[in-house]
Formats: sequence, C-alpha cells, structure tokens
Amino acid sequence: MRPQSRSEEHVGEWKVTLWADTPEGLFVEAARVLARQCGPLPGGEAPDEWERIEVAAADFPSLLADWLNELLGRSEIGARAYGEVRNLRLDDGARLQAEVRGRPVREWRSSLKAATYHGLELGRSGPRWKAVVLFDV
Amino acid sequence: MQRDDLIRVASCVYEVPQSFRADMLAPARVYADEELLGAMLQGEAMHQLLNVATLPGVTQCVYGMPDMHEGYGFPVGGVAATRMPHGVVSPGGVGFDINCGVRLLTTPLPRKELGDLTPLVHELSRSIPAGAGKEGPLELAPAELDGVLEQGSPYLVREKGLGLPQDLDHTESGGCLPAANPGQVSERAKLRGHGQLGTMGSGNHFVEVQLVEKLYDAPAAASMGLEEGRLTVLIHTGSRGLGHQVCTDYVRLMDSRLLTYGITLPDRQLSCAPADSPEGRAYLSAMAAAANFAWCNRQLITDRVRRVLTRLFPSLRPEEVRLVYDVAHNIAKLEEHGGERVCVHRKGATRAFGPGHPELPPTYRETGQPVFIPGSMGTGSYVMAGMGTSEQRSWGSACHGAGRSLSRTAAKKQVTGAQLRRELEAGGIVVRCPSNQGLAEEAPFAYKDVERVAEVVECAGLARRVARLRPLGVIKG
Repeated sequence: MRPQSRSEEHVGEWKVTLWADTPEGLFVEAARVLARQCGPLPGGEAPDEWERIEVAAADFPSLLADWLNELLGRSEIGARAYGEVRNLRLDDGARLQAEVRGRPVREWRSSLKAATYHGLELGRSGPRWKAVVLFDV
Repeated sequence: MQRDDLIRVASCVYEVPQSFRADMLAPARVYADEELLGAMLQGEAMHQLLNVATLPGVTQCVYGMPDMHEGYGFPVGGVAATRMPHGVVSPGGVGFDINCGVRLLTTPLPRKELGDLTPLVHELSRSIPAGAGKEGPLELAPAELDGVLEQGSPYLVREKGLGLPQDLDHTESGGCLPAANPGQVSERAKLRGHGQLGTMGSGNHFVEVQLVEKLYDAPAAASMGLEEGRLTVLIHTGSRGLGHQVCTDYVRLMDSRLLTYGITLPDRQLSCAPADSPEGRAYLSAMAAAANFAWCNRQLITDRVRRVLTRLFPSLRPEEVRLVYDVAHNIAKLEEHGGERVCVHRKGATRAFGPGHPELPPTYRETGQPVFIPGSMGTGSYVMAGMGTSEQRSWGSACHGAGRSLSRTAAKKQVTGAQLRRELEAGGIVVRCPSNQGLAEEAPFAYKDVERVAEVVECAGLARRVARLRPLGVIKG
C-alpha cells in the first residue's frame, strides 16, 4: 500500500500521523511530508546531487524526530526541499543511513521550527507501521 | 483532569495541590476565570503544567498564565523556577523560538491627520522581510555574527549605528545576556540564522501599525509616551532559525544525559540538566547568545521602521519614534526572588516586574515594567504595567498574548484567507501577508478574548491595564 499521512488537530502546533508498510517507508514518507511544507518547487530545474546522511539517536522513535530535524536544518540553510530519498537503511534500531536529494524552493513557506519528542510514537499498527510527530510551528 | 481537581484559592486563582500526583514536587496554580479555566482543561495544557512541577529543583509553585494552552513539554503560558545552582534548566521550558518577544514603538503621528495608511503599511512590508527564508537586510561576516551573539543589541547600536542609545535602556536586560558564548552555538545554528537578522518569520509573527484607542492609567501611559489617537508600531518576532537550532541541539543533548543525572521525566520534551552541569552551563550560554540574536533582530526591524516612517513623514525625527519597551516571552533567566537565586523559565510568558524593581530603567521605576498583550490582528492589544504583587504570585511574570483557542486547521475550515483579508480591510485594517493560508490560520476567532485575558491578569495582581491599542495595519509572514 502507498504510504499515507494525515494532519491531526492541535491547538498550537502541527501534529502529523504517518503510515507505511515498512519502517524505512515511514522515514521516506516523513521526508516527503516535510518537503511539501517547504513551498512550491520551480518546474524544470535540475535537482541537486545526492547527499549522504547519517543520523544516530537514543532510540528508534527519537531517530525519526532527529532525522526530520536533520532534514529541516538542511532545508532551511539551503532553501531546499529534501523530498527524494534512496538507499535508506536502518541499523541497530537507532541509526540511519540514506541518500537525499534537494530541490530549490521557489518561495520558502515553511513555518516549522523543529520536530519535537513530545508524544512521539513509532511502531507497528496492525500490518503497517505508524508514527505520530508533533512539530513546533 | 476535571474542574473538581482544582481548588479555587482566590479570585482568578486556582490550584492543583502537590499531592495530586506523586511525582509533583510543587503545587500548580493557574490564573483564570471560569471560562478561561474551561479552555485550559481542554487538551493537554493542565497535564503539561503538572509535568513541569516534576522538574528537579522546581521551587514554591509552577504557574499557568491566563492565556495558557497546550504546547509540547511545557504548556504555552507556563512559568516555573528552579533553585540555583543545582536545579535544572530545561530547553523545552524556553521553547524553540528563544527570546521570541514583543516591542512597542510610539510615534507623535496623529491618526486623524494621516489619511490612507496603505502606503505606510506597504512600505513597511517591503522593508521588513516577512517570509520564513533568509532575505535579511544585513549581511554579517562570521566575526560580526559573533558580535551579535555575544553583545546583543548594544553591538548593533554602538558598532553599527542601527538604533538609538535610549533603545537599550528600554529593552529587557539592555538587550544583552552577558552569559552568551557564541562557541556554544553550533555551526548549523549559525548557518540557519545567517541572513535572517532583520526578518520577521512566519507563523504568528507580525508587525502591526496601531492606534492608541483608550487610556486606562494616564500617568503610566504618559511615562510610556502613549497618547490617545497617536500611531504605534508593535513588533513580534524572535531568534529565527538560529534559536530553533540551539533548542534542537540542546534538547537532544540533554535527552541523552538524563540517565547520567538520574532524572526521570514524564515527557521527553522536558529534557533538562542541572544548571551547574557542563550541559546546563553550555545551554545557558547558547540560549543567551540566541536571546541576544533575537534582541538584535527586533532592533534591526526597529531601525527599518524608523527609516520608513521618517521617509514617509519628513517632519518626523528618528528619536521621536520611541521604543516603549522590548520584552522576551520565551526565555530562562537567573533572577533573585525573595533572597533566593532561581532560574525562571518563561515559556510563552512575559516578565512583569512591578514598580521599584532595580532592574527597571528610571523611566519605569514608578510605573512598573511595560507588558504587552497582543490580542489578534482583528481585535486589539493591551499595554499593561507590571505590579509588585507579581513577584510573589508568578515569579514576576504575566501572560504574553490572548492565547490560541482554535487549531490552525480548524481556523482554515471556518474562513479562507481571501475572505478574512476582505473582512479586515472592510474594518479599516490594511493587510500585507503573502500567504492566504497563513492569514487564515491567524484569524481573530482562533484566539481567546483579549479583554477577558487582560481583566484576569489585572484581577490576579500580575499587571494593570495602561492602554488599549487598535490595529490599523498588519504585516505577516
């Protein structure tokens, strides 16, 4: 099945639920969701070169928040959306390696400051994998 | 949590005793009336305030301001103090937008003689980059960025000529926390902040042109330079990407050290370390640097506002665009209260020192510290003055706004940005906002009633009303 995401009600911040068939798929979907927040991409412009990323965290759920914060920081510095991910590998439950590719954003629109550890969830949900992340807006 | 779990201890004061939860180290008090209390009990805000009461070293009482609402870790509108030197400091108790704050400028310009304000609002929106990207008006070399981080507003005013010396007297802490150490700020944080000085950012940040509509306390208003019918400018922004990254870095670091310090928390976003530990000291130095960046951000925007006003109104002199005060509402500060040295965390809460406090400039020694409570872009804002009783009742704090009552999604379901723009303009408010979606998210009905919030602040003895401001022009990111 295709990965999915849904915004949840939160009075002050942005809470999003993600689903995918595999944990790797969940991390890729999280990157896509974050990239969509950055703003519109100009048509016809070549993407950047692939960049290698490694993230290590205290545990599996915080790996997702740390992965998102890694992408968020890179995005803001370069005004780029990192929605393309390949060769994503999860090791030891709290370590990630991947290649990401950014595209310049035409008009930067993201108001996200960071992914938080508050209410962070990541685990199996029936046959799929599910995560809940709260971003500070 | 139910209404019955709170005890009414005085008018506008409700308490959850320490015995309510075994892990609480202090009672929790909220300042509210029945309606505001009802709003607080929806969602997680109260639960989050009780979580704050579990922080090691927390002392006396934790407080929820009248605008308190659900956040992450700390609630927005939460105040807590920890005993120094061994009590903890929590980056989540400050938030990602370190030293997000508000400053108010007054002018002698009479509204009735100005006519259409569209050109003014348009010029301000052109001069103050609003979006979330990096379009700042000041290119800083690395050494200059370190100057900003280490010295704060005095660096911009004295070294760069971007402001007036009197601006510094009217900025909380003179616009500089001396503990700042740029070496404790990561390269990524510096890269995120580079090019963002002098920018507003998006979300609920704004620059608003306002009219002084009503005075409640004429002598206090006079001390602040507020006259009925005159134009003011309110600026709300913070430390931009630099502060966001400092918080991200230190929440992560402290989360990884919790076991080392034997700290157990009900919410990982409250991650913390003893203030006198290497991690605690490093955070306080980095946070101070980010706070200095935020003061410089608002100072640079002030300079832009002055340039626009003096260009459009040539008889106006720069010094007539007077800074009333600049207050932080996301910060942790080392303060003395009742002879005790504490670290006061104000997350979505404003310092509100009363008359006579030694940290206030001579202008406000008799009046008390100016406190600003922005309502929403369609309603109004209050200027208040800190009361001496706030010292005992809230660690010298008051609320920072009206507080959200609706989620951004819910707001967008009720109005489109285009509709809202038309409604505001029909009400005589000039709007400049590049994003219709962003505008709808900040719709006036998404906020609590600012009148009610200001009344409770006064009833609770935190700050008293001085003047009411009405929006005439809104610039948003």
